[in-house]
Amino acid sequence: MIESFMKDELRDYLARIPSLEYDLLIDSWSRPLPEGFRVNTLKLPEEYILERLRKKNILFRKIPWARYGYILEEEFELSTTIEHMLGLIYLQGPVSMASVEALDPRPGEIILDMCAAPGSKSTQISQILQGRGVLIANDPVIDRCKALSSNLQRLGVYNVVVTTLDGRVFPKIAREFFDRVLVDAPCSSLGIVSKDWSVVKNWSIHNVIRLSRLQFQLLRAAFDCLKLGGTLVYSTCTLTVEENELVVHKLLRSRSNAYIEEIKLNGLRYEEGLTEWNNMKLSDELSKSLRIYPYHNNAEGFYIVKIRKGG
Amino acid sequence: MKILNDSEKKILQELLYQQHGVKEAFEEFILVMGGDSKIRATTLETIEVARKLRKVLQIGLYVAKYRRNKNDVFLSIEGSQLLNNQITKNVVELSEEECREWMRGAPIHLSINTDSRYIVGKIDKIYLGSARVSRDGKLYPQIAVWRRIPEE
Repeated sequence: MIESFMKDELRDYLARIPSLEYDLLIDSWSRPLPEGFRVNTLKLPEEYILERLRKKNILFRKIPWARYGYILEEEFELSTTIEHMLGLIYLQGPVSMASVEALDPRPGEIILDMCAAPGSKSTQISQILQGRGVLIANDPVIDRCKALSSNLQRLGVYNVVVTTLDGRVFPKIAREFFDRVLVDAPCSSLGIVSKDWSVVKNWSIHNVIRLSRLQFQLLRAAFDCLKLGGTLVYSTCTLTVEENELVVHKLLRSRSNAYIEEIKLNGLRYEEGLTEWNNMKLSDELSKSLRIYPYHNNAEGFYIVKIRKGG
Repeated sequence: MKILNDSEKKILQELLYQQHGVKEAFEEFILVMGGDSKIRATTLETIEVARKLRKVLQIGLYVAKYRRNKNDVFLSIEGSQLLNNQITKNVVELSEEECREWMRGAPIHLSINTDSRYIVGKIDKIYLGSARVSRDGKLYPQIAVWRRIPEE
């Protein structure tokens, strides 16, 4: 069914990605994504909140790669529960939680979430900071910042500054300032097609190239405002090489002190990042990045890479 | 946005002491007041980082609304949750059903004997912010529209 929406251009493109199993991808796009949620320990202990959910006969299981992360085992309208409205839980895709786990924030650090709205990953970072250190939740689109602010409020985050800067200007005002930076970049969203089939209908390589330019500028800015020894995570919810490995490859070529680090996340299935594309040899380091297809974990598709800034 | 100085903070703390029995409320936080009379709580380090940045939309967490001209204060959901069991006065325990009504922003009729203009709701360990006490004895929860549970 979904294939009828697809242009030949996209079908041909996907067929060229060596690690991708096309039929499995189409099948996973046709099924709804599982509902994931995080328990917000900034407000109350994890077990107390889980017990409230159990009393409502809500069935869920632990996500092995995300602290405080769970997946619903049966459909339930969590978004209208008291627990959701009070900020005791936050609805978030299970693989989306992996970016922040890869970032591995530590209490006391100064952390920038460069493309923060609507706030899923910002609230996750805040939870791990436990009120110590500072989170800068940035998004250039003011309308999107309303949702971001509401979510930060609902989850009870007080050590946060919300800014509306173009991410690319951060090095001008905060060069080598942050301990960690998350760049969850705007992308062509091929990893979350199940949510919105128009993604495949509107897909074009022209748009991918346009996004790729912006993504590189954001990643380079993120790297430049990291402290020496700091780390960043670059992630997208898409599958194209131009928006993922090629963006990182370009950074590695332009910044000699950028090193890719291994990511270890318990139970998360993925393929290694590509080290060759269109007969072009890419950095071998890219094999340490994670290419997560929707069928790997029956959830969203993502690309995640962790980069350290050497001294 | 303006950082409350010590004497301004003391006035707010005194009001919260009289109203809810909280001693030195939000003492460990820096309090910032917005043009909308909203008090936001944050840390000194957060303020220092914000000073370095540009296009700052917001700092910290909305904890209370303080209307100087009426000399009254009420707590947001998160404000009451930060203070939690320090709140000893004018706090009412709700049932699950009353809690749902509260979170719908619907008026609740409870027979409460209080002179206070605001009381805080709670269910078990969860604090729900303030409700205004009307003359007819109803409680009007001060829940922002975006946080209300929709009608079933």
